[in-house]
Amino acid sequence: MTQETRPSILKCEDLGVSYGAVPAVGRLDFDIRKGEFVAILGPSGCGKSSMLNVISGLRAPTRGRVHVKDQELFTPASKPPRLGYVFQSHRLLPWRTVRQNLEIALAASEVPRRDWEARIDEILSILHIAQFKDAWPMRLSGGQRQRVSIARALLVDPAYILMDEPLSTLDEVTARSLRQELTGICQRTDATVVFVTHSIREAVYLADRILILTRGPAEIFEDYTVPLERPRDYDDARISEVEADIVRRVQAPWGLSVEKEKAVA
Amino acid sequence: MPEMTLKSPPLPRGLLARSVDLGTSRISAAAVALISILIIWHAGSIVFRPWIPTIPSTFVEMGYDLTSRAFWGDFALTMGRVLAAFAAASIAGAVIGVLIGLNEKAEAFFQPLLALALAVPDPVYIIFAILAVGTGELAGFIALTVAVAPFVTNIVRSNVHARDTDLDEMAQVYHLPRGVRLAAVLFPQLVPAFLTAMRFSFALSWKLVVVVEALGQPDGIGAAIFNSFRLLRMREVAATAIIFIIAMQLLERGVLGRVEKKFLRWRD
Amino acid sequence: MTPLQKQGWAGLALLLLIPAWVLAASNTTFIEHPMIVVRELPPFLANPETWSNIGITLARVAAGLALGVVAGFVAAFVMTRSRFLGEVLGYYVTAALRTPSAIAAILALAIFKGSETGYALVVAFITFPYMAVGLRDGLANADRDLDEMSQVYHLGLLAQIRHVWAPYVAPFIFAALRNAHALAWKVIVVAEIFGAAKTGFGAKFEHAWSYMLMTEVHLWLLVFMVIVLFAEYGLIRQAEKFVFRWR
Ligand SMILES: Nc1ncnc2c1ncn2[C@@H]1O[C@H](COP(=O)(O)OP(=O)(O)O)[C@@H](O)[C@H]1O
Ligand SMILES: [Mg+2]
Repeated sequence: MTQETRPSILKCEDLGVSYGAVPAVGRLDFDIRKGEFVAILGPSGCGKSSMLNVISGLRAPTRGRVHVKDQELFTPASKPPRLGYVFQSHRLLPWRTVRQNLEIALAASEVPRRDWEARIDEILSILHIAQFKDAWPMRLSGGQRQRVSIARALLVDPAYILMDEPLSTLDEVTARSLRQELTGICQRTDATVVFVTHSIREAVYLADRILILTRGPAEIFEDYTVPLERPRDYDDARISEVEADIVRRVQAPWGLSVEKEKAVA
Repeated sequence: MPEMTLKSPPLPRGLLARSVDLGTSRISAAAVALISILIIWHAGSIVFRPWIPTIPSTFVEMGYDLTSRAFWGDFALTMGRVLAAFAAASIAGAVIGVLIGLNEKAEAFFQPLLALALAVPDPVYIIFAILAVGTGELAGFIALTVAVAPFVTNIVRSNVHARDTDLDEMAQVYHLPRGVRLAAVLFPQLVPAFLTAMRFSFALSWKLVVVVEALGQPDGIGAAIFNSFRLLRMREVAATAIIFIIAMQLLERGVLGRVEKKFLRWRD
Repeated sequence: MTPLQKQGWAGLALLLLIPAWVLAASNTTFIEHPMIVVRELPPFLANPETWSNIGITLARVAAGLALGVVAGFVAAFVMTRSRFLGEVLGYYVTAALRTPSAIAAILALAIFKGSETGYALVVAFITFPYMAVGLRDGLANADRDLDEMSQVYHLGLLAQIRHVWAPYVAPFIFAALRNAHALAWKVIVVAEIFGAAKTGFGAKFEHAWSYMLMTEVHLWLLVFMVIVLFAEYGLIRQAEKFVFRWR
């Protein structure tokens, strides 16, 4: 099945967000399909978090419509969408163990209780943190906490998973290994992911498709399909090529000035 | 004390590692403190004779107290009053604190009332309670509870404000039900505040109980102290006060310290 | 919520106090009707004796608080400079923290025979541990976070205090001061009642109460609360706002 024929999961039409009179999101139209890994790429302050607040159901948009599967959000009859969210920081309950954190999220989902144990064990071993099942979050490293946070997002049978720069607070070594695993896990679980980042290379490495935003208030500058098959290698020259290609495209609209450093003669 | 964002003191960490060298300096600090207090006391008992009793006579009196049935009877009575008021004030204050901490309107409404409640001198509460319900146990209980609860409310409220709203957002995203949000997301964040508030409320309750008993009750430690004072038996005043102060300090340390350890064990 | 809405709710709460008061008055014998109290208020306020008594209590609070603040500062400073002395002082602070103000008042009255020194010392004794503990936490924090920075930038001592240390510790000073101030008013009344004072708010209040002059009890209480609230919201909080206006 090609992407185009898979069902639409998240669709935004004419989406706009303003704080008072100040616009943060200008106008967004996009459609994300089942199993897609879509990166949202834009400079800081362009309105990425504001957009996520809307598609996570936390905040009604100032203008436009959001559809999750067949249902329109923010109408009186609509239920908030079932989703997973990996925040920039882990946002685990520090006074609950890893297992309890996952169970609290599961209890609010539609997963039947008899499946919890097996699911938790499975997801923790996929993420290589099975041995921390009964540990307090404060005793884990930053990378391990973020793994738990990813486990929580995957466990609840989400319609889609939102990730807001989830690797940006980790050190580069940890971020690399997690980045590498993330695509594999998402393909294995056929998860639909919206991944917000300001790192072009990260977007190229992870995503099937990149929604490149303009500077704030955000509009879609380009809907870019990453021309690389999987599996990919983060250090591959072809990733660098695509990255350079995107940098060239956004140079003007983002106001970048990429000058090659010249060796001092 | 309208805006107390008291944090609970950090738990002792790596106690075993430090205890060896610090243990000795701890003990010598305690010794220096004790000896210097005794010296000051001794000097005071000479300069302000007979108003400050001598050390030996006070210790003799303390020994006498500790072996007397009447003292322990008073002690138990006062303890009971302190604990009853402490419990009532902690619960009432914490409930109101959480409610108004979560609701802006309730907060705006209660803020001036809290300020007023805190500006009323404690004896006034006692006097009006006595006028309202007569000089029984109830008057003391009401007065203590009403005097202490606003402090608890303030501490709890300001900590509800200082809660981690990131976690609220997480709870909303994952559709956690209201009960879980209160019990698993909000309350654990408030545990240190509750403990601080309980400490405060306990200390305040038994400090005030002396006033309450002196003004409105014929029995208990406070009444005993006040009676001794009226008869100018300063030895008895000092002995009773010292025993009671030490007992309360030990109780607070022991019980609340243990509760704290149990509830905050998730901290690194 | 807008500030206006906030004030609206606060105003509503205060307004509702009036019917509550009326209700309480008609159901009890010891609470006067607000009208009676309001009618008696002008002559009460015109009486110079009222003001002299309030002035005396005010002076006791001010002197005691000043003493307590200074003692608290010194204690906090020593506690953050020397570990050993800090532990020693910790015992003094705990002892003061644990002493009921009624007992402190009794002892001070006996020792100083009801002189003004006694009252000031009681207030100082009860408020100083709160200042000491609050400031100690502030100083300890400042030390940790700021020492390195001022060393890095090679600031002079005065500049360090003015630009680095003071702004950092000021919030703690104000928090501790607010606590100590609220406590001082509570203590002075206890001290005046237990110390069998002849003048001052506590003495007059006690006198009115023991002769069952309920209107006077109400008047004293009312005036007292107004003064305490004015001191807190009209003076301390305004000073705080002024100091933190750069925020
Ligand atoms: N709660 C808010 N109130 C007012 N302005 C806001 C608020 N949140 C964000 N903004 C503004 O909206 C713009 C977009 O912010 P944000 O969505 O956080 O951007 P990004 O996540 O892309 O960095 C910024 O200019 C920011 O200052
Ligand atoms: Mg952002």
